Amino acid sequence: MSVPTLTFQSNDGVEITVARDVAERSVLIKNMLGDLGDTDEAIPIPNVNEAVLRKVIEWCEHHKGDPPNTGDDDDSRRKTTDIDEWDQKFMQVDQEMLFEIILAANYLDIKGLLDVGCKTVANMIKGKSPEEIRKTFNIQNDFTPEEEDQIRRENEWAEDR
Amino acid sequence: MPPRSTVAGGEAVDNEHTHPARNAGLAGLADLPCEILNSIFAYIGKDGLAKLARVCGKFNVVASALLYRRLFCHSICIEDVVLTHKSMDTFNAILETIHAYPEKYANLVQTLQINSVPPNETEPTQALSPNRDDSLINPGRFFESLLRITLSRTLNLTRFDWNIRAELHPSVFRALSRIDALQHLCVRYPKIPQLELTDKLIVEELRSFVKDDLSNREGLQSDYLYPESNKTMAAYREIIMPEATKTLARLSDLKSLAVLDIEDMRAIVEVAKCIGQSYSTLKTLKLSFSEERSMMTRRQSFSYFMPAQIGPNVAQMQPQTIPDLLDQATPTWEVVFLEQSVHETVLAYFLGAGPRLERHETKLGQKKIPQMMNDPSSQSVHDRDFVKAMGLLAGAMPKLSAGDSELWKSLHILKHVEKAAKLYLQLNSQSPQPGMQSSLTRRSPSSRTVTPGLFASSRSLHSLTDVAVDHPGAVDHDSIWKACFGDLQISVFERSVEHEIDSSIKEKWALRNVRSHGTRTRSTSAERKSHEDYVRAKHGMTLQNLSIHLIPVNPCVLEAAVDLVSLKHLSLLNVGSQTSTWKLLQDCNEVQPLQLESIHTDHVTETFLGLVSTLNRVTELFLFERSSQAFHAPGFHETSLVGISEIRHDILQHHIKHLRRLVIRNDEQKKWAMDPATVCLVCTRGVNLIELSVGVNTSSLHMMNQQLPGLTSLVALQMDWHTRRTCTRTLRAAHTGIVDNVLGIQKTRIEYVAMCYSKSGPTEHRVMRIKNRAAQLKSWAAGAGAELNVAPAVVHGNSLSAYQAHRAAAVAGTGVAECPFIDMQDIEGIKMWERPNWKMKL
Repeated sequence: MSVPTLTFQSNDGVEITVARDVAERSVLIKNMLGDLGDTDEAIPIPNVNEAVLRKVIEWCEHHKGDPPNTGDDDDSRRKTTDIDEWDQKFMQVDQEMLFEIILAANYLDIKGLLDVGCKTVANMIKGKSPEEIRKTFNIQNDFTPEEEDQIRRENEWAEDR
Repeated sequence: MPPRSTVAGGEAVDNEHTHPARNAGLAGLADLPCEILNSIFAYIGKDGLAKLARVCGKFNVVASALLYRRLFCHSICIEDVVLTHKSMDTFNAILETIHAYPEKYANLVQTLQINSVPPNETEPTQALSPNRDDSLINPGRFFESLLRITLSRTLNLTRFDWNIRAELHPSVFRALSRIDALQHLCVRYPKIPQLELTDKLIVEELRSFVKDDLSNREGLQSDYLYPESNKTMAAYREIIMPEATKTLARLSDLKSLAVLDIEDMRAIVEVAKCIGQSYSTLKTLKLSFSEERSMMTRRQSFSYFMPAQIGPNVAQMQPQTIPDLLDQATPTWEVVFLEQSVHETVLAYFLGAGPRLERHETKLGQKKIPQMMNDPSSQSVHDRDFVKAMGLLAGAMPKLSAGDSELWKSLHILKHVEKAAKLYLQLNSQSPQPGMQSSLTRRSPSSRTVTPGLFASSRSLHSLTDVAVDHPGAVDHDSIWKACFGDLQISVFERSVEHEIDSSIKEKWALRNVRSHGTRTRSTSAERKSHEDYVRAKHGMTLQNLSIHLIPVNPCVLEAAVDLVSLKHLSLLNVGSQTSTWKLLQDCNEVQPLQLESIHTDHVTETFLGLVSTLNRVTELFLFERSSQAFHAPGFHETSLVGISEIRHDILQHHIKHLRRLVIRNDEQKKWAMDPATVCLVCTRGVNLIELSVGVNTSSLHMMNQQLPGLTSLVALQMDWHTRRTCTRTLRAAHTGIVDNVLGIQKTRIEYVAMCYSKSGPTEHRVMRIKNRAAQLKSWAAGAGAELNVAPAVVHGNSLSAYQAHRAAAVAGTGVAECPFIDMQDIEGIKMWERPNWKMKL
């Protein structure tokens, strides 16, 4: 018996076929299929291009057997930024792709992938000074030196001494 | 094509010349929506957040919200002055910032926690010391004033935790009552200078609550204990009762409430009012007496009735704070029983179970119980057995007829038969037979007269008290169960039918509740009262989490006051015998499946195993057996007769694949040490376990070590070694051997490994943390050997072991920082090592 499949259409018009159980890692897709029933037509994913969609599907295929997350455990172990070895390799992409994957995971409601993406970015931020963060992510400083100093004094209690 | 900055293992390879995302107008970090930035920043500590707040305006908003969302001061510990001052200074600095810029920061505060960090109490010798407590904690009036002023500004506060045993001034509660957003509250009560008997006013309050029409009967002459005249009492009530609206009674509509270490019995009036005012919204409830308050009655009763059976340590330890009731002029048994009755009534009073309980017991006790108890060989008993047999048959049908398309029809018929039989029983029992007497009247006159009976109208509870009086340590659970719940299934069944009928009404109510909360418009008091009365009468409190410690639990009260079907977590610790409670839940589960997923208990009996084996899905089980040698809280029930093979057969075989946290800890004996079959079962099928704490003997220790690779999700492992010969070096060698083994396992996530000897509790306990686990996983991913990048650190202990020194030296050679000492308090997210769970309390 053949595995049931679905077809996704990326925003650049490319159609990608994917096994249904893999696609259902996305809560958005799962709920949609639950509400509307099975469909043979291509499901448009308007916010995601082909390259990103393929990466997302690759992640879902690897993690299709994972147990579902339970909310309470996530909170208690929130602080750890350890990432699974396979996920670390998976996330070795350029910044543009990384943020696109995070946005796609958020849109498609794939919590595991979103967590991995967020942890990866968090690991890039940790230990850096404000200036280094700006440089790493090419962020414009919209504070005057006085404002920045004022914020530093307000939050002085939080800095490690 | 321009070079791109890439992410290599969490470290960006920067390229300042080209940022394609920015250049192409595509997503850059600053372009991500705030909700995603919030998710990213949540992984960053406060130091990192302070830096992020200075990067740009958008980051400032998100980072500040996280930085000020949860404020805590968690180092108030009298024995560590430096740490306490440092923590207090930081907390004061936060509060000062909030006061200096209230518009910017005050509204961001959602959680305010004041916690104490007690000194390490890992050794039994320390735990046994009566002087080690938190009684000296006193943050001071200045601190309290600062707190009160802060609360007046933090209008979005949803959680307030006062987790230290210090008095909280009524003005703080007044400030809290003005915060509409407040939903979660935790309060610990302070120690009082001298424990005294429960105030007569409270006794009267409880008596009026349960409407005890026999209050002045010969068994309880409380006036004899309290010689004040009625006139004095009336005046006393006028003066004191208005005082009972100064603290907790000011608060309402809470979602979670924890009132812990209640020592002054006058506090119960306010607690009950608060619970009553949050009746329809409350989802989580934690209640506990202080150990001193609880021990006061129980120890006295034990010493009065069975002095020879008290353990030597307990008998010798008589804290001076406990009044010597034996020397008082009044008869000791009256004092003891009055206090016991007060304690047994408190839970019903808290949960507002009085009226419902009365109805419930009238239905069960007056109509059915006498008949059953006075004529055990009567036809009704046989009929009841018949009904039970039918129920069992109905339960077994799905297994016997798997795949049978006619199954539903069979079940339907069986249900009809069962219902008809029950109706028959009910009709029979409605005609009282002459000459019937309750078990109470059939007992000896002496035992009848000593029963104080705040619940005097309840015959079933009389029988409970009687049993406890005669054999405080060995209660006949079966007789209690039969006395109280012989026909409970009927009431539960009726209620399930009511559930179905009322479901549509209930939904409307829920909708109404949501609307009222969404708009924060409070309904009128009359409407509200009628709503609550309806919910109380039909369903009981719809709690999801209920935790009780040291307050006697009567299953009648739970059945009457709580909607058991909605419970997801139940924690009963040192509340006396729990057999009847488990039986009650088991019967409820047969009628309507319970949602219980998490249970913490220190009374594991066959009935408990029977309950758990019938539950659908259990993800968390903490099974404790207290040591009879423990000073603070020895068990108040008989020692468990259950062994590890029964636990494996009835619990683990059913639930091991679902379990995420499993604790099997027996401080009293080694009957729960893992056997080979249990090790195999846990290590091969426990793929979802993230925390595991088990007892081991020498052979199962080695087996566990070999089979650890099977625990693919495990993060923290605790092993209590049961052995006669104890040697610190041997323990350390075994511990490091296991850690070495873990370091070599690629498919495991184990980060913490702890070991101790089990000698009336954990002895020589130490936790080793496998540092740089992420780096190890990363290296494995890259195909390189990672052993040298990983190092264990002793979390609990005073000195580096030779092993660790060796490992640290090896690590230093590879450029990884030397292993620092880490305090056990720094381990976060491991539930089994959280202080209350570790100490088997709340």
